[in-house]
Amino acid sequence: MSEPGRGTDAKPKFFIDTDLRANLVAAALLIGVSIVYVAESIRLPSTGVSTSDTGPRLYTLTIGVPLLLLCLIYGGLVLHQALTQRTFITAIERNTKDAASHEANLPFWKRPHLLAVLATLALIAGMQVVGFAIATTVFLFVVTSIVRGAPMQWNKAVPACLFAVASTLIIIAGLEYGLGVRLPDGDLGMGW
Amino acid sequence: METLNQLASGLMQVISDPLVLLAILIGCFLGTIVGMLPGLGPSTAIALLIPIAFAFPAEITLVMVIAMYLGAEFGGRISAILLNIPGDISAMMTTLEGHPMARAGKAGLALSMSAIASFVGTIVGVVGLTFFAPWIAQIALSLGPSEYFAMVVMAIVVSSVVVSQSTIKGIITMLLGLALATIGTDPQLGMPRFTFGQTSMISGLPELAVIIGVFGVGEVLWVLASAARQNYVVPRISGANRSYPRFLEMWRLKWTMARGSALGFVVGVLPGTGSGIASVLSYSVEKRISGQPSNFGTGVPEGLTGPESSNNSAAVGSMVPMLALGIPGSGTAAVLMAYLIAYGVQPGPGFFRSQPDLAWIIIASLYVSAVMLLVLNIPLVPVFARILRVPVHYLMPIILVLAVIGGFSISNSLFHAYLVVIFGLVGYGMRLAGFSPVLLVIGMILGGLSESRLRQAVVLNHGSMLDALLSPWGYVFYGVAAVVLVGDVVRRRRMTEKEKGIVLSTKD
Repeated sequence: MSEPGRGTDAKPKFFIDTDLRANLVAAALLIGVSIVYVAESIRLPSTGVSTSDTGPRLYTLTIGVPLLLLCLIYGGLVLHQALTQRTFITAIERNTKDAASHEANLPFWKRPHLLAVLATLALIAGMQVVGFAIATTVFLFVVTSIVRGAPMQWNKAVPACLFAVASTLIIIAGLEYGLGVRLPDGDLGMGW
Repeated sequence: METLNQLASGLMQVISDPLVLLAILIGCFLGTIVGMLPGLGPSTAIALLIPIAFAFPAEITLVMVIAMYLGAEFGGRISAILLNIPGDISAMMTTLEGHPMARAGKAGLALSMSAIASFVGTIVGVVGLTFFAPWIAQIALSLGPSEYFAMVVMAIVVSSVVVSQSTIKGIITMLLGLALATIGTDPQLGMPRFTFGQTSMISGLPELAVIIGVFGVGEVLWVLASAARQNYVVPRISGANRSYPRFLEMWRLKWTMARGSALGFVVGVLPGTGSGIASVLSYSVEKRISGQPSNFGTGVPEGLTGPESSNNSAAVGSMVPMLALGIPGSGTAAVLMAYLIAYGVQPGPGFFRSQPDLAWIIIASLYVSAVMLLVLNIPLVPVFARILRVPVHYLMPIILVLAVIGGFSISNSLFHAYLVVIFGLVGYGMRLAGFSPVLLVIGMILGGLSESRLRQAVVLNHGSMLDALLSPWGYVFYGVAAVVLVGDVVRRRRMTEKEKGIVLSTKD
């Protein structure tokens, strides 16, 4: 009996599907976090205000130890699944399967959600320096263009630019002037 | 009688204050808009309101947030009917009958019918909340710290089993939420813990930053990463067909709506169940008792109005454990609770005694919101349909900006804005790996309560952990948790065996 993907012209490759890969990463992260949590809990004092054994350690260990145990069990289950259910499929099949879920076949610079995260981090850093108005206008233009695609075409760039300016002005008018919500001024003191 | 007097007093305060009425109107409108956008549910709607919320006093903000919550529940059905994409999970069953009606040129009629059913469900839920919440709070006042901690453990287990697709993932997420709540300063000794030397962490992780992150940024990332970012074709609501149901048409559905509402309320009160499960149950009941179950899926009004009344009733029902016990019944209730805590209000058994005015204003605002939503939703359907045509590439960047402003508004610090993005990534990653962000938030909200109760119980029992955990009511709560857990394991095993059987028989 042939394995999935064998028999096609394309060269078969070792493949773990997207969900399993995400679970493997999650398990590794969770085990790491829970180890740090338990280790830090042990360093906390055990003595409380009135009675011994009622200090900060009591509660954090009460949740930390079961958390670590469950994370280890989860990690074991995921690893077992990865070892027993690994499949060999062709690159074409892998692309189709991944594209159906999370566009994992796209390179980093073409994944809008990852670019949006970077842009949002840049927005916050920009707010700190140049203030809300400029940082937000640039951010809205960039992210709108990324999500829409083809930012270099002027017929798409002009509406994105107008949208960015208008939205920033509306947010400032509504929040800062309308409701008195403070917006970041920026270190350069360029307003808002 | 006392309950009715207090409710009347709350209603008078709400109706007589134009600012409160305006807040409810804004909340209903914004909630409906955010609720109907595919992928963005009530939790996201409320999380995005944070910058606006901090501009107003507590009672104005809270009624606006609650109106927004109900608005989002109402709004979820609009995209379900028009696009066949539920605005949130609770509107999932609405697609089954609502969209076929829209395809048959009855979009306006389906939207009006479902708005009336949502109104009925909300009102039944609020009546239940009015009478049950103070009563449950009264009983809960007699529980000691041991019993209370046991109840929190039960809520954790039940929520994990019900909300999450995998029980182990559910419990891990809950424990992680509880662990996140311990970051900051020890409540008894005042010493820093898990801050890793960072002074900005001494005051702890603000629940609101986590909420905006996982529900606001996390949802946007999920939408951007999935096929959901494609723009939709919204059908036009034709003037040629009737947009409003006749009185007799709705009267014929009275028992359907009554069943859905009652079922929804009971399901909503249970921890972690939420309105999604309520609407599924209601749809199954209506299909089962229908004389022509084969017609379901073709635009049957019973299949539309039952789940709609059920999910709205459940949404209100989930506020019962939140207000009466301080235990959020759903993710959105946890977000509401975070708002209350941010304003120095601690929901729980003492809430109705310590702050009766605020408690009854909240309940009264639910009645007013329900009426306002009905009035808004029927004539404004074409407007909402037009908003659905706003392209995703304009909408998502705006939500990200609002999320960043929300993080900044918590304490006018960009550090919290960074936290929002970090938790946005956490929320996205959790969804990718099949963990429920809702449980993380519920765990975090329950963290303070469970820690204080456990430590009080141990002190009262002279340092004995075992005695602290065991009490007569404690046995009941731990017993329920154990039964739910074992039942879930057995159910999952049966399902796996069934699936194996199907695979084997297919191979044969």
